[in-house]
Amino acid sequence: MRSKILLIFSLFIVFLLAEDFEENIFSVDDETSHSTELSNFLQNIKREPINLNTVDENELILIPWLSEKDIHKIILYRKSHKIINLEDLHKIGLNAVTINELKECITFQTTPNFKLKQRSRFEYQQAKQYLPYSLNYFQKTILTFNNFNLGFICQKDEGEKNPLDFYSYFLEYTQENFLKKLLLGKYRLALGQGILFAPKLGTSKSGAATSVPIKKFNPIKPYTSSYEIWSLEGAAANIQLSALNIIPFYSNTTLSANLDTLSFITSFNESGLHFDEDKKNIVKEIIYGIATKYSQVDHSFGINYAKINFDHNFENPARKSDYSAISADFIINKSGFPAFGEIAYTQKKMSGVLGCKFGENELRHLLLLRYYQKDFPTWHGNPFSSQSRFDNEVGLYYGMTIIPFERTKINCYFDIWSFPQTRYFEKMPTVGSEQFIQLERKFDTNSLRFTIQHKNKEKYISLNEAKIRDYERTTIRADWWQNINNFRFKTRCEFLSEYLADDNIHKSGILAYEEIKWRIEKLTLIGQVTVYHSDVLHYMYEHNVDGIMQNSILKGDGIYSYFVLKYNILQNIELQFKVSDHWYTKDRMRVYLQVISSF
Amino acid sequence: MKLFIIIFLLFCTSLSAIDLHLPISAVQNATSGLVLIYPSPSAASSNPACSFTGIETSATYLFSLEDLPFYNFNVQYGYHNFGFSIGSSFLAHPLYKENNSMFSLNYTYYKFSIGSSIRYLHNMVKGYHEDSVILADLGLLWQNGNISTGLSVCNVTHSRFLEEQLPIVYIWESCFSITNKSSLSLGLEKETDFDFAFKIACRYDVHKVLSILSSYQYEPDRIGVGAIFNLKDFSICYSVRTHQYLSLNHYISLIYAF
Repeated sequence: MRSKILLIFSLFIVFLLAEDFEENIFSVDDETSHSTELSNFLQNIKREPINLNTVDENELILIPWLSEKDIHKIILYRKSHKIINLEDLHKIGLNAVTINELKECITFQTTPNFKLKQRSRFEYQQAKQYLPYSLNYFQKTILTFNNFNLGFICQKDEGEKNPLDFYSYFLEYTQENFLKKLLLGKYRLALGQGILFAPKLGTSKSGAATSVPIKKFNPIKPYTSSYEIWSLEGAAANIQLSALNIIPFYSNTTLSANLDTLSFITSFNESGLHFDEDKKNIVKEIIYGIATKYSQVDHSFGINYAKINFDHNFENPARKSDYSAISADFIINKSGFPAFGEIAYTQKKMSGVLGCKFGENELRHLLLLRYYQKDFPTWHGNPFSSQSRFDNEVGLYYGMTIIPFERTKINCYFDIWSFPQTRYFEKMPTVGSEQFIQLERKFDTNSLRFTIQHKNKEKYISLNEAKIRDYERTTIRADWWQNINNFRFKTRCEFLSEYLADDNIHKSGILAYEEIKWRIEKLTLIGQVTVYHSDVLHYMYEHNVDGIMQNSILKGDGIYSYFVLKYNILQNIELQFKVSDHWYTKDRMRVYLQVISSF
Repeated sequence: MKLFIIIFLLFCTSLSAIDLHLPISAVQNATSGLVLIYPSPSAASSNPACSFTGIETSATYLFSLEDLPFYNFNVQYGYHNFGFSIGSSFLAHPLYKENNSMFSLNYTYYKFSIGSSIRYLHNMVKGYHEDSVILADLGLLWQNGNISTGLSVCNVTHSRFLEEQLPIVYIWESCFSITNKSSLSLGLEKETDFDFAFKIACRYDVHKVLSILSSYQYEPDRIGVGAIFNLKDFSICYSVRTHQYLSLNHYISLIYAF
C-alpha cells in the first residue's frame, strides 16, 4: 500500500493549484468529521459557482470572505454594469486576497433550470474491518425542476446492516411570491443567531474573524447532512406578506437515546451508530411553533416561538421534557454599521447574543457579547460559543480584519469567557481565553500564511483533582503555497505546545507536511505526506471526497499520507477516490469512493 | 463578595497595590492604557512625551463598586515647543486611600518629543500605614508619517515605599493610521515581576461627532470598548472594560481642548 502511494507521489511530485481557503475556516480543534452547512455550501459553490450578476443578497452574505461593504459594492456595481470577469471585482474595490479566495466560487453566467444531482459514497476503514457489514455507505439524490427540489439521502455506518439505517427525504417548493418556500419531509431550522434553532455542526471561530461568528442562515432548508440526529421531520413554510415573513413549522420525529432503568433519558446517541436496534429511535420528539420576521433593506426584526416535547423525562432534573421557548432577534445595518442579536427565554432562563461590526474595509471590527444561563436548553441551538454545549457561559469576542496593504490580510480575534456556575465535575466557576492572529500575504505565484493561536483555560484535569489548573495550548503554524501552472505545492510547519502551569508539565509536538495538487481539465490529483513527532494532539484539515470535512487527529511519532483523485469520466459524471494510511501502523488505512453525477 | 476580594487584595498586598497603574481616563480604559491612538490631556500620565492641550476629568467606580470611587483630573498646556501638564488621581475608600499628583514637561523637536514627569504618591491604609513617595517617569515619542511610536518608563528613579521598591513599568506603543478614519495601535507593557502584557487598540471615526475605541489586552485578558462624542471643543467619552473575575469597569470622561 505504502509503496503504491510513494509511486503515485513520485509521479506527481511537483504539482499544485489554487489555494484551499476553506481550510482557513475549518482547520480548527474540532474532532468532527462531518461536513457542516458552511463546508457544504463552499463545496457546492465550487462545483456550481454562484453567478455574481444574479445571486440574491441573502445568499451572497453566506460567503464568509465577503464583508458587508464588499457585498454593498457588488450590488451597487451590478445595478449599472454587468460583472464580466475578476478584473471587474478589482475595479469594484475588492482586495486581491479576497478575490483570490472567491475566484473558484463565482461565475458570471447563468445555469439551467433542470438538474439531477446524485452522489454515492462508500467508505472502508481497516480499523473497523472486524465489524460485520463494515462498509460505510452514503447516497444523496436531488432532483431540481423549476421551483421544485425533491431529495432523498440515506446512510449506513460501519457495522449496520440496513442500508437505510438513516435516511432523509424532502420536497421543497420555492417561488418569489406569497408562499416563498414550502418544505415537506426532513428539514433543519435556523432562527436569529441560533440560540433556539441552528445547524448543530459548524465553527464559531476561524480565520474569517469578522464574518463567521455572525450566524447567517436561510431559516428553513432540507436536511441533507449525513449527521443522523437533530433533523426535524414534518413540514415548514415561509409565507411572505410584503415585508413580513411568517414561518410555521411542525416536526414529529424519533431519536435514538440511552435510557436508564426508569426509562429516563440519560443521553442521546449523537454518533449515529446503531449496533443495537432496540435503542434506535425510541424517543419521540414533537416540535411546533412559528417564527416571524419583519425585513426591510437595512434592518430586520424577528420573534420566534417553539414548543418542544419529548415523550420521556430526562435523568437530569434540570432538563425538562416539555417546554416552550421564545426568542426575539434583530439585524440593523444602518450606515454600514451592522448590529445584530437575539434574546431567548425559556424555563425562567435567559440567553442572549449581541454584536456589532464597525470600521472600514481596511480595518473591520466585530464585537460580540454572549450570555447563556446555566441549564438553558441547548438541544437544537448552536449560537456563538466557546463550547458545543453553550449554556452557562458569559463571554466577549473581539475580532478584527486588517488590510494594511493590497494583497495582505490580517485576521485576528480575542475571545474571553467565563463559566459563572460550576460545570461537569468542576467545583468552582472557571474562566478561559483565546487569542488568534493570522497574517496572509499573496504574491504573484506564492502565498504565505502565518498563524498563532493560543488558548488558556482553567480546568480540572480529572475527577480526583483538588484544584483548578491553568491549561495553555499554543499553535504556531506557517503555510506556504506555490503555484506553478496547473500545480500547487503547499508546505506546512506547525509547532504545538500544551502547558499546565501549576504542575510545570510541558508537552509539545511538531508537524510538517507537503501537499501536491495537480489539476487539468478533467482531473484533480492531491497527495500529501505528513510527518509528526508529538506528545499532543494535532488537528489537521485534510482534503477528501466532496461532502466530507475531515480534521485528522495525529499524535505520537509517525508518517501519515493520503491521496485524492477526482476525475470527470464523462461530462456529467465525476469519480472521486481517496486512500489514506498511517505508515508503520497496522490497520489504519481508509478508502473512500464516490461517484457524483449531475445532469 | 467582589468588594471583599478587592479590599482583601489591597490589604494583603498593599505594596503591590500602591501605584495601581489604573487607567486614568475613559479613553485609556477603552484602549487598555494605549495613549497614542487617541491623544488626550491625560496621555502625559502614561507617556510624559505626549502633548495634547486641554483639560480632562474622569470618574469611575472601580469594578462597578460604589465603595471604590476613582477620580482623575489632568490639564495640559503647550507653549512653543514645550508642553506642561499637571494631573491628579484619587482613589477613595474609607479604609484605603491613594492620591497621585503629577507634573510633567515635554519638548518637541521636529518629529521627536521627550518628556519627563514627577509624581507625588500618597498612600494610606487605615490602621496600618500612611506614607508618601516621589517618583519620576520618562517618555519618548517619535512621529513619522502615518506611524507614531512611544516609549515610556515609569518610576525611573526606582523609588521605594515602606522599604520596598515600587514597580518599574516599561510601556512601548506604536500607532498606525491605516486610513483617515481608522487607526491601529500595538503595545507592550512590562512591569517588574510580571509578564509582558500585549495590547492592541483600534480607533474608528464613524463621524466627526462619534469615534469608537476598542482594545484587547493579553495577560491578563481584558477587552475595552468606548465611544467618544465630540461636540465642538468638548468631548465626552464613555467606556467599559472587562475583567475575568470582577464586574465591568465603567468610566466617563469629559475633555475640553483649547
